[in-house]
Amino acid sequence: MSNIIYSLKSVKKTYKSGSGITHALDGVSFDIQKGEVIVILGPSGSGKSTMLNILSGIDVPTSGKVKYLDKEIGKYNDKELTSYRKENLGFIFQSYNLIPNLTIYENVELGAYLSEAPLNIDELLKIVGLEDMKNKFPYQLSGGQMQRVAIARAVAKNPKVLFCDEPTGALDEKMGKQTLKLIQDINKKYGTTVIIVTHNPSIANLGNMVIKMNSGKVTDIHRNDEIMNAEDIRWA
Amino acid sequence: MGLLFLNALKGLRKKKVQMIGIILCIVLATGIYTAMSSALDRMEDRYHNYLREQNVEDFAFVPKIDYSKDYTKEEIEELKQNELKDLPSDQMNIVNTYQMTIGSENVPNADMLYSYIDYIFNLKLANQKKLEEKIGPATLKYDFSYYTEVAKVDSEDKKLYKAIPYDKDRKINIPYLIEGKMPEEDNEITVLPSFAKHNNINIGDNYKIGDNEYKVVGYAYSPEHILPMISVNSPIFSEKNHNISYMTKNTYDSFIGIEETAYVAAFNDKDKTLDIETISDMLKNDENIAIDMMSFMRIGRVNTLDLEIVTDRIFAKYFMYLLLAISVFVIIVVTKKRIEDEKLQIGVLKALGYKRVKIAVSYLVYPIFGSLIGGLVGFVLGAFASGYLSNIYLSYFNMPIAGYRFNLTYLAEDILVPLIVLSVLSFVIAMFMLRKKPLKLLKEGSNLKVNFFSKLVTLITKKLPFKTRFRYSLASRSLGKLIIVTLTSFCTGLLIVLILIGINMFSSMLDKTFDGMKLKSQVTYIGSMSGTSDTEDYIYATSMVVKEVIDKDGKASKVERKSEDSDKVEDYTINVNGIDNELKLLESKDENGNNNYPKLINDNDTIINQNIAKIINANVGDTLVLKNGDKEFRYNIVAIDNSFMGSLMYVKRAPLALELENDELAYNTKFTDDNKYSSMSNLSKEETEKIANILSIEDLRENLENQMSSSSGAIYVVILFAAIMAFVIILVIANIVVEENKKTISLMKVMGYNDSNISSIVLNIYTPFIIIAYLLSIPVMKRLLEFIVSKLTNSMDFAIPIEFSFIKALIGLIALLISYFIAIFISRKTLNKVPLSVALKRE
Repeated sequence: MSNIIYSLKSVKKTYKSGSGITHALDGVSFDIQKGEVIVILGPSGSGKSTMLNILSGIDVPTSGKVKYLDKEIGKYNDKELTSYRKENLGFIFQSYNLIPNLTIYENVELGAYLSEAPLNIDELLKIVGLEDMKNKFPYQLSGGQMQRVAIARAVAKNPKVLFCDEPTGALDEKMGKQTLKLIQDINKKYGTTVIIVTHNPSIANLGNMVIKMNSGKVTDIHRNDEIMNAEDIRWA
Repeated sequence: MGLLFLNALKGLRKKKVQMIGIILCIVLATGIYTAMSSALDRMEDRYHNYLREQNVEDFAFVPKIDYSKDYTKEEIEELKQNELKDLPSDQMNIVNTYQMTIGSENVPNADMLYSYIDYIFNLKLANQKKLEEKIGPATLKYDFSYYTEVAKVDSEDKKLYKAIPYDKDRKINIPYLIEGKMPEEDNEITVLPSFAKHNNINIGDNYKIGDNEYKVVGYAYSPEHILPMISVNSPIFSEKNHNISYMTKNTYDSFIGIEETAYVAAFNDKDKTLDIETISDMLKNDENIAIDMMSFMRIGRVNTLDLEIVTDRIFAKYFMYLLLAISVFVIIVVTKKRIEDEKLQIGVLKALGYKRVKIAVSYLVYPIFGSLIGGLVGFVLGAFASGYLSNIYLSYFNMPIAGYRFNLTYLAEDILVPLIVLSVLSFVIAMFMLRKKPLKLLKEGSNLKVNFFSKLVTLITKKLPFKTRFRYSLASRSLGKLIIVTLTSFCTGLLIVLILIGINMFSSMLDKTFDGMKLKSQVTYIGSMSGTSDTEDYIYATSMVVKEVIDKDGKASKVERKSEDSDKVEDYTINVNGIDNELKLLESKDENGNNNYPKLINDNDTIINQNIAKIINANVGDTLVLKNGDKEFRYNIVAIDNSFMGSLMYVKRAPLALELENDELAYNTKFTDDNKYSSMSNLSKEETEKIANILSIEDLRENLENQMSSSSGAIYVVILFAAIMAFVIILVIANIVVEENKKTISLMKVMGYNDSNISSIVLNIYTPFIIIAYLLSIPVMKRLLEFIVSKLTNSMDFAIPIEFSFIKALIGLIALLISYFIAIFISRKTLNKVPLSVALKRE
């Protein structure tokens, strides 16, 4: 049985704008293994966000093939893409995106509601270390705590893939490392494939595979022989 | 500042729904104001000149002839040889009886006798000399001219005709010719223009009234009939069925109809205008002339338009203010939302040194844009609609109107009033919201704070399913929007409940009153007749004053009615109808549907109707104490008739007639189902002369039903309007809700929620509040109506049942929710367009 969860072949994404054509992705090809931590690294404008959008079904490629577990998601319509995200994916954002008027418990419940077999919310809150704060509101939490709630929400529906878009972008070093550790723990505990999109090179050491991007192209793909723990990385 | 304003103007394109909502509110407000004001201008411009040019009467009076002492036997004898010589025998008998009583101390049934004599003398113009003796001094004292006006009313084939002899020398109530000419030859008539239009009558056509054919030579108004109340039997003017015709004296004399006479007066000083109450007070103690109820009715025909103009102008103005107030709420919400969205930008501007005032001014783009476009469009639409409104006024009021007059004031008001009101308020709101320091505005997450109300809602809804909790939390996020939606739903609910009660109110009243009526006509005679009938109902009717109600325990309560206009206590007079055991042509049932007539056993038993019972607070078993002149009557209430119109009281005929010194078979009214009474031309001259009035029940019912259907039309317009307003407001709010929750919506899409799931959570947040607001409006409107009706019942002669069933409540709720869900459905389009990338944006 194939261990490949994602397979990309010559994927291109172009945008037409007033000033001409932008090649956000310019012929990208790679495979991602199940259960691994993948880091997509690149500066602003490198195409890494576009890559995340294509992999997560938020956007569709202009050309090329994108397969998820042998299903060509690049050809899905909106309804199919919604189902794909609902049944398979979890998301963590740089800006947390918590609902201000829902309690911490309810914010996690927002994610659990989508699944027919969600994880236990109280247990999840324990894992993220916020079991005592379940009745509080987001405005009462620090940035790091909010991100941990977001992680719990993303994981609540027990997704096969967890997408993390600059998860530590708004956090300081201590909070950032805590967040990354949590992501690693989830990967180890649940076998969730994690795809982290970041511009922070230090985070690359956490991944099983690192994909470097620039100007819409993959400039380098390498596997790390040694996976660092989140607490040990040098913060850039 | 110009750049900021320009930027805001460009941003309007993205807020189309909100902008259109504001413009629509202003268009409605200014459009209605302009339409009504312009239509009223056309009426008012002409009205006062019309009254002056046609020298419309200032009042009608009755000469105070005291029949007990003003005439001598010799004078009566002279009249019998001259003016009264052709009287029918029964009327001559009455005159003879009167002649015999002159000089006597105790005249039996004096009031009735004198009123018959008054009627006969007026009919035959026998009072002229006596009147001159009475009226002459009065004309000098109060400086007025007068005219003895006669008219005949005829009912033929459901149409009502009033015939007035044309006198080209008359100086008061001069007819107004619109087209053609006034009658010169016999059998020439004029008709009302509205009657001509609805019956396809052209000048030169022949027109048949009864058995007689007339030639229509012109269209003319009768100026004292601006509100053309031709007969009390058909109180609501019908353009199709009611007509006033001028004709020559000869034609008039041979016209068959019930005659009426009035003395109409106009002050010689044309600038003198006194209201009828002042005139009534003025003449209160005059020996020679007085004002009676007919005078009030007549002046109502002339003055009602004045009152209508005054009240309609007030209504138009305040209605505009009300709608603008609603627009204010919408603008507050929209401005607040914009400022919240742009707080980072504003923070940057303030940090750069822009003053609060300059930033606030840029947010005036909504009220300025809305007022300019909305005001202009409203003015234009209003100007067009004023023509239509004028026609509606003309269907009620008969008089010439002026042409449309462009009034720059309305255009200025339509633009400036919303502009000033909305701009000032928007500016104040913006200044308040921009008070925060730049650093606070620039701080991320500063809008995450949860208000107390939201926390309370979270606590209360803890046990509910997740989706429901989510909805309530979104709804509680903005108290302002929640209040606006709830208030709007409450006000719309009030209107819906009013309509649902109102539609059936009058028809229910009519049904309860007219069902069970087999009679076609009620005939009232001048004098009393005598006899019995197997097919018709003979009734001896008289009026009495209700003095007291004594309950079963013997406790007596005085019956007093306070006058509407002052705190004067008035007598409560009702019609007492003496009947034979039971009426064949009119049922009397109690509220359970049981026949009342078998309960009328004893001479002093009575059946009263719901209207009387409500007014004097009487029940079965109570005793009524009444007075007719000096005579006191006591009746025990054995049943209550379930009708609501008029003050009906039944007693046994024979004892009543005998008590009032008539024979036991005396009657002065009859109910008949004989078709011949539907047209005066079916009756002989002899019979016509005995008849004081014929009331066609069919015509009355049709007349009232027609009025109800046209009132219902107006009511439906009001509810449609309310539904549009509610729809616009809910649409704007729903649109804002989508905008406000864009990030949440985007997040949910990214997470895998489908569009209909998101819509049901985000857009349906107000459903329970709308339902609650509507449910609250039901008892409020019901109580309000009951209060209004209790006031009406006191001053008018009918009671109105207020009924509101569960089915009606459900219908109203469905109507409101349909409006809400249509607004939600339209807002879904906006929701579906929210891109997934919004959730991915970095703050």
